Amino acid sequence: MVDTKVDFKTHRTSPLDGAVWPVGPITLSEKKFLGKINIRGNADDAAFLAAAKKALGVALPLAANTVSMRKGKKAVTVFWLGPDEWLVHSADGSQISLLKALQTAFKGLHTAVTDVSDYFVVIELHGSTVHDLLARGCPLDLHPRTFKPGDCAQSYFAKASILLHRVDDDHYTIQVRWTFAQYLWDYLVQSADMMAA
Amino acid sequence: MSQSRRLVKGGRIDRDKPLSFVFNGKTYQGYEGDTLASALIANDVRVVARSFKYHRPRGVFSAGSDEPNAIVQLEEGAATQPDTLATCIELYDNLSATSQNCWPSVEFDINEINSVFMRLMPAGFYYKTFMWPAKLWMWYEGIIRKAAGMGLAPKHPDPDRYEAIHTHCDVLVVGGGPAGLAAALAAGRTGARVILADAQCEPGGDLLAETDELEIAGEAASNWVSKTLAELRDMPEVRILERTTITGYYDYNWLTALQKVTDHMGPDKGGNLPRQRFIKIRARQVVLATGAIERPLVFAENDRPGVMMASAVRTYINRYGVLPGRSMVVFTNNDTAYQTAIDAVRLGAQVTVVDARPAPQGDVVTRAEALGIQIMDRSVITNLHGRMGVKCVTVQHLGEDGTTLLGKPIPFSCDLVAMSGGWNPTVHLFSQSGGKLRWDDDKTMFVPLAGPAINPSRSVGCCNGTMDLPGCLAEGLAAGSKAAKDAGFGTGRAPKAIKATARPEAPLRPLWEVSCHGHKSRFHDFQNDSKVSDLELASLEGMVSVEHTKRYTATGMGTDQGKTSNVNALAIMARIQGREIPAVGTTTFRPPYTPVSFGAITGQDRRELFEQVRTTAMQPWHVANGAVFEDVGDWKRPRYFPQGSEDMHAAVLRECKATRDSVGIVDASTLGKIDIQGPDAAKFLEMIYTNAWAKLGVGRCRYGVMLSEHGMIFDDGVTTRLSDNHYHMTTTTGGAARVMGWLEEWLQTEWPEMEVYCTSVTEQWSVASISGPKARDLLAGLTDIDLDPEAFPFMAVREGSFAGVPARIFRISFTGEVAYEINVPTCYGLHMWETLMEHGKAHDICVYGTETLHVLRAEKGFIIVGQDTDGTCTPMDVGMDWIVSKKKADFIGKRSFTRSDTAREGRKQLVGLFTDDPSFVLPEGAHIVDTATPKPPLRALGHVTSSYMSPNVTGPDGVNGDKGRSIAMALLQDGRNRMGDTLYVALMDGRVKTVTVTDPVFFDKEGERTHG
Repeated sequence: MVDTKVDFKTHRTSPLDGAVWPVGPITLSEKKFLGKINIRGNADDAAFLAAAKKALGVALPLAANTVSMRKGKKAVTVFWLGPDEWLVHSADGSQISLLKALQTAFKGLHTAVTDVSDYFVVIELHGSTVHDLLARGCPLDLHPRTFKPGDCAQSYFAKASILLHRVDDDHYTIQVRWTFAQYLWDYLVQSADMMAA
Repeated sequence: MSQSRRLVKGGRIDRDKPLSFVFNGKTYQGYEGDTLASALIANDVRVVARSFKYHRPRGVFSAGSDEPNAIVQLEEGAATQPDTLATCIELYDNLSATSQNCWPSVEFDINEINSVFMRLMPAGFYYKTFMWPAKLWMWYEGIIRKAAGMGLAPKHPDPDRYEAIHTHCDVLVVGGGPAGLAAALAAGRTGARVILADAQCEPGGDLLAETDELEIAGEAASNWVSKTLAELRDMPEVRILERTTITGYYDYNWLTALQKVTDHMGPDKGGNLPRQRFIKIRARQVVLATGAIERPLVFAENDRPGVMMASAVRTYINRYGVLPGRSMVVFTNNDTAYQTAIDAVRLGAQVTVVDARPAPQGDVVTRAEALGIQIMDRSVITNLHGRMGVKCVTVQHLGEDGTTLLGKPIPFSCDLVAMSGGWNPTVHLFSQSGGKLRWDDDKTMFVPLAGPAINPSRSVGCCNGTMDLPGCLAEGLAAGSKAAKDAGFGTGRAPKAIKATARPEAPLRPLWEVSCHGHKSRFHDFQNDSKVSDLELASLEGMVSVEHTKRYTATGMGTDQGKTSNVNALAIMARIQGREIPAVGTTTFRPPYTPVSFGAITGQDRRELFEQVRTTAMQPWHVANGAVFEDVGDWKRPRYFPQGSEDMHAAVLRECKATRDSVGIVDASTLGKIDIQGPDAAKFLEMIYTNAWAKLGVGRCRYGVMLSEHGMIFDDGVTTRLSDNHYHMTTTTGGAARVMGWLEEWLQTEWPEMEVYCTSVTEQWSVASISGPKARDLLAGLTDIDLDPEAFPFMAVREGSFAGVPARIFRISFTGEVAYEINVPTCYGLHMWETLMEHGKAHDICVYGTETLHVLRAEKGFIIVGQDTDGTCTPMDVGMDWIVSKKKADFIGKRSFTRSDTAREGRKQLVGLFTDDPSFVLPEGAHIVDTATPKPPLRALGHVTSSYMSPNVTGPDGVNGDKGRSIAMALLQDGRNRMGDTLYVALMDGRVKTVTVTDPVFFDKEGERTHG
């Protein structure tokens, strides 16, 4: 008999299997199964901005390399990726309804809403020397004068393309493509290991 | 006697921390704070190395990275480092080093015979002597490499770890001497982010070699250095990088540095820390305070052990507490060497000053005279004796013309010559930054040409030609303040001036070479054994350009890159050519300033971190089931799945047959996938692909070929219309990023008016492709989608559930069988795969890899872009005329079809080949010729692009056994007009194989199975 019931949460794997790894003062962990939606649209179109805000509960960030966040039960983090491109992180599973809500809100507008939840993986980094660790592979200037909490940037770490988000002083997230996750993880762990004398 | 030349007190060494080390098998003692060079001098080791070409004995010459002579092999085994400078190696306990380029020992080196025949081995000797016969060069080279060489490269993998890091600052100060410290102080006080990079184990520069007489800010210079460093260390935004040499200065103020993190501890003593760190610095502003390098004097036998730079002698005395000679001749043309004479005399040495200047005057001369130092003015050293160490020099008066020697030669016994020919500002980094040099006649040196810098930087202190201490400090303060202001900090006004001891200097007398009697060797480049006579010969033989002369004589090459030799060589060339020094020009200063180990540049990028390895969600299953992997771009894809003792050949035959007999499954997740949305999406696809897209129905798929502007195939794939304005494009595995970039380029630069958004979704979807007669039966039990061929025809997509998870299923085929590509979000990929494998058992499922994938598609004559095409193939060339729309007004590449070469008859075209021998698989890339007895010159008609053993194809001979039948695809000139022809394939081993040209579709030509 064909089982046509769809079960979203049982049969899943993630590339790092939810790994947690303390190295010296730094802790790395995989943030499993976050919802991720890519949005394209015209930032000059008030109707688009209004529709996005309605569906997300928070306005799209319009300043380059910043995020806007909605806290609480329907928490989302919205990243500015480009003048016409954003990325939404949301709780595990919420992306399905959020995708529909965005599509409904954008009806009649030229936009693209794409589920990329499995395209990317998020690694979380905590610790007092996280900046030094990131300097082992990321060419960006992460000094608090130029990269503050609430800032994000697309860059690379070694050979992996990343989306970096400074959540707080010593707390970052790195989003990376699923197939680069293991490479990035190993690179971070080995680099952190060399920092611990 | 142990450390016989060590002074009883003084120096920045720690006498409470004695260290033991081994040099050339003998054990010696030194102290913490020593360099290998200072410890060797302390132990009276005079011959440290043999020279590069003539194997002449050489001793320590300088006290820094300009050292041309004291080059040693450090440590042994895997950790060995060739070509290290004894002057830059910080001594550690149990250090072990050996002399290079000598056999059997540094004291007795058999190749010193070269030195005897030196006059027969002038510049260009190797080029001239070993020119003929050309064939023998490889043999000659082996001998030359052995005789004229540097250190030995390690034979084992490097056991050390390295790291490469990025960093940023507002002001980078290069050099921690007085000017650099002042600049860092001024910049740091503004709150700017400052990096002070200094090559030594402690900043201070030449101040570390000073006596306490020299005062800064009313106290001993060394105190001022300590206080300044303390103030800098208290500033949260200032970082002091010790043991860090800036090695390169590139555009946009991007500089590279090498930090020696644990070298000074010795092998295996650094814990987890890397041995060296390669630092990539982006600086808003740069202050160069790199100092100056003392110029040697070019006189007869000036390379003998015991001839040292005067400033280096002073450094050994004051910084390391070592007196390199008890009986010293200071040979100079300027004031600075007098400080060396004064310090040495005070410690009990006998000193004579030989000064080229007539009647030198001034404060320093007066002080020297007051100490009873004999000063011979208008004098030069014309000869020197002491093969293994200076014993005696001959001094003579110099005429007003600077070349004539007057009077009687006077011999002086001595064990050390301290020489100074003036100073060269260290302009290497300034030059690398794009700065031009100016010859300053008064100062007799090249200095940075003032003016707007290409890269925002300022040169201060000695590297700017400012040689006096108060001037260095003032320039440093001013530049630090201005750099900070330009980076957005402070007012730009310099802090209050720092008072310092002034030592006014009388002008020097230019002295580029010193006359001598007879054919004595006068070296200007010690590391490369290059002499004045070599420059003269180079000129005689027509080398005029400085660049030619450099390469002909090897001047300025080697590990020191001419730090001590370049300016002397230019001046001598100027004399030979009868020109002014600036008219001769300078050679190019190239990075790195000092040698950088490859390990440091590589950093963490080695072993498993050398390159990312991308795998699909199904990887755990592939590994558990014995897949043999191959690299496809940066992906690891299963190539085949051997069972039991199968080799690849057997496994692939089995996989190919099973797929056509029952059902095969392959992991197709690596295909590139692009989500395309927008009202102009169809219009966009019409331009990107050669065929028609406007009328493709929703839910239907179409194969498309993309061309470059030149009309040549560059990618292919199936694109599916998911809804009116929504498409799902697939690309080749290797072409995914290129296609994404291609689409964005056209949208952003050519057709910004088009309303289309493209989003890469490659990793979002895991794909299992099942194909074969039982594919539908297998799928039927696992999905709610109606699989009836009427409801779900070939080239269509349906969405539904698959094994309890959401799925998109495409009915497309790369095998020519009934096939389904099942796409699920990647987190369900493994679940999908395991479900298919489990349920597939009942249907004789067979998992296969890329090799079988290639065979199956070749049986059907489907191309692989990049294998059967090579960037010169049009769709027509590969027999796909049908895919090029005749009706469309335009598409990318269309116009190129009208070019005469693209449109002509007889181009290379895709054909099939059957070998006469059904069991022989042609090598891919083999050339096709029209003769069975090929002889050069040979005209190749084309080449084999794909070649396999197929178990499914029946050849013209009717052969189709269990062992398979060889099939091949080829690009062949005028191929379509050669159907049925007999041709030949020439193999690398000289054999020739006979082939018959055929249609490239080998199996199920009517395509009935796909629709079945």
